[in-house]
Amino acid sequence: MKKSLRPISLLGLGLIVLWGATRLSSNPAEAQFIPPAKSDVSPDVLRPRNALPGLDGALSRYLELKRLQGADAATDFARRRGLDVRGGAIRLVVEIRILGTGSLFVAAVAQTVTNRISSLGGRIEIRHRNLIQARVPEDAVADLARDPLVVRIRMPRKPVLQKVVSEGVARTGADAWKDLSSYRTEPARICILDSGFAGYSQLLGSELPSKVQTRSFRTDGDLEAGENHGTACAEIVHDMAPQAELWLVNFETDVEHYEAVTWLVGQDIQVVSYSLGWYNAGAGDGTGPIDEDVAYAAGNGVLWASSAGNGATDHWDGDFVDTDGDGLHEFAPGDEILAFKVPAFTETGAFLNWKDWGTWNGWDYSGTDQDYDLIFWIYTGTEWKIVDFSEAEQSGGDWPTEEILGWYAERDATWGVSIFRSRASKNVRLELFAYNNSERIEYNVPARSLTIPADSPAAIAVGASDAINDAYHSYSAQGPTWDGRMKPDLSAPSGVSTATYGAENFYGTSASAPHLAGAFGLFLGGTPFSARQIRAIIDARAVDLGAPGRDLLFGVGRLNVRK
Amino acid sequence: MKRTLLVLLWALASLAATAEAQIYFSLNGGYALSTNKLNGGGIGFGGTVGLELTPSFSLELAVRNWSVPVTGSNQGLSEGKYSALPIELSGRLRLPVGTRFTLSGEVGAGFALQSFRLDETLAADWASVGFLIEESVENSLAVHIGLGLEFALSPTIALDFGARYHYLRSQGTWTITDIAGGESQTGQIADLDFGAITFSLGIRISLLGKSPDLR
Repeated sequence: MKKSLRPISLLGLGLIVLWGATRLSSNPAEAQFIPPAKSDVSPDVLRPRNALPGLDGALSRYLELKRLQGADAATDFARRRGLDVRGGAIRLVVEIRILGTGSLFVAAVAQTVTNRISSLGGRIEIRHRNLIQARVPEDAVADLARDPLVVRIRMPRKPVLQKVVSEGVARTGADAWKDLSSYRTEPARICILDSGFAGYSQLLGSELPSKVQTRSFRTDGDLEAGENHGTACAEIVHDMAPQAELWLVNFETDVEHYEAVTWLVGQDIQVVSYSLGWYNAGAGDGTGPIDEDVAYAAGNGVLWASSAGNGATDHWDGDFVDTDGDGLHEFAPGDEILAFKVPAFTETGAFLNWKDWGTWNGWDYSGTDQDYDLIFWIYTGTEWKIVDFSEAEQSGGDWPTEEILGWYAERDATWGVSIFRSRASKNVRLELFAYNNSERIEYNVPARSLTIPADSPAAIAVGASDAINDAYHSYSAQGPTWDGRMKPDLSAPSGVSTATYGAENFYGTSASAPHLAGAFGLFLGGTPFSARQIRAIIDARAVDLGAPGRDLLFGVGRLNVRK
Repeated sequence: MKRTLLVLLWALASLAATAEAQIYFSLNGGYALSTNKLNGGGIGFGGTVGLELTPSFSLELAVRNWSVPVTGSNQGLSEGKYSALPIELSGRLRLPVGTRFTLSGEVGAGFALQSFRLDETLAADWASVGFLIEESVENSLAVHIGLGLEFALSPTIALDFGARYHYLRSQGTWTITDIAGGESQTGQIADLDFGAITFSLGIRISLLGKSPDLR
């Protein structure tokens, strides 16, 4: 699809026309959209005014919207961006300044900042190393951002479910294990680390073991959290390894993730089934905070079965090109919008990062000063209309990431993304994921489409193969990693039956990862082999699919536990 | 082992040649009941060569064999069949009761050859998922005490009933191997208790020397 863009200065006008032409909403329950005022769509506000250094762009924009346009506009923006604002307080993550390398230094600074947050009327939810997750009054956020001990204030990062929505037991040969009792070992402890386990209690004793261990790291302690994704994953693990002890653990944010991983290592968990993926949570080369958690768990003997991601048809990457000098990347000569289709009432958005992360020091990246932004479009049938733009500012030491989320239309729609070089001294390598597109995106590049932590050397990344005929599922993320390593590690069945999803089969690498976790549980709980040996055995038994030998679609092949 | 046996046989023959001793042998069959609840019971048989040095004391060299099923446990041996073949030298005190009955008590010690065969179904089940499982037990010293009752059918032939407690402890080895990839894991099984009470009924035949008196 070829699209010519007018200069960016016309974007505001286009958006105003849009509101009359297309009914959009960010909240299906209300099915109403509160259009931004004209000032919100002028090019000037591609960057929030009065943005404070270190204050996340979305938070800045929320505060600015509230000041200039009032509570309704700010509330709508908060809904779309996923800002959690309740009772006048915003949930955010404060990253503190590291003054020294010792943990005492960090603890002292963290305590000082904690006291500062409390004195501003904030409430601490959870702390981890240099991160403090807190609920802070809106009018105190700016003060907090000016604190010299605060490096950055941002929204909590959250993972994305790897669900596109088990025959895998027979496919992998796990049924051959059903009459075998444990040989010189004890049943394995498998943790399903997910976002929610709705309905799990109704499945105890049938689709799940009669007894499971549970723990929620959400600040509200809600294990079910209105999401049954984890329950379906747990079903598959139980199908594969009926003797295994299951631990259902959920979290919501990146800080809670750190705490959850630290805790589960302390519980001697042997296997983690991880059907979640993160966009923009690392460079894709095995570094970053989430990958660091996985490495920590693996270093303590945990086998981490991670979904590779469902982004093969959602992914594009390429170098920034702007031959006409209008600041917008050209996906092809004369085409500055990448288009994709999204079904009605399906939330959509896009994630952008560029490969200028700097150095990872174990806690954080040194960051970038190259600033690029996302522009989000919808196609009305006759023309493209801008609906949103991202606002994160990269001025040095910031992560090279942008995202737009929370949009949907009341009919099937074609959406588009442009990449705007906001303030940069060099062209960079760009990586883009569309969210919830129903078909392959325009200019799709399936390679390097792994989500985090599938890129981690410590994670065993699982791609999706068909539960019936082993065919490659086109959404299944492909390697290599951004530092050139082969991934995924292997593939496992997808499109399987679960009680949780009923008539809908469970598709996605989300379904594949628990098959591998269950296989690990079979071997660990059935044999006395070490984790290292079990990885070698599973690799040796995999049924080679696709190109001969290890490849970037299936890894070493489809999971096979028979022989 | 063969050498030890030959030495013992030679010693018995020498004793028989230098004394007015009676040499006898017996063959018997019976039932072995494991004292370890993880193991079951099974039939056994054995043979004895004895030298009756006095009317009330004899030396015996016995070879017995019994096999019992092993129920299996995660720490001990797996399900299968255990066999013991103790070769023991024992002393027997004899107390004649009436003209045809003789009560006896015995104490003995020796060396037990032992073997274990993994249940074929279990081995096949593991093979079906690509693993070869092997388990073995080591040979060990054996000790026993027992009571006996003989009934003389003739001056040279007697029925011989015996009940013995065998103290047998050993250790084993397990190995599991991934057939396809070759990964292997092995370990020791310590303190295996193969104690058993055996009941036997046999026939004793005197070959050399004086015949038992039938009073």
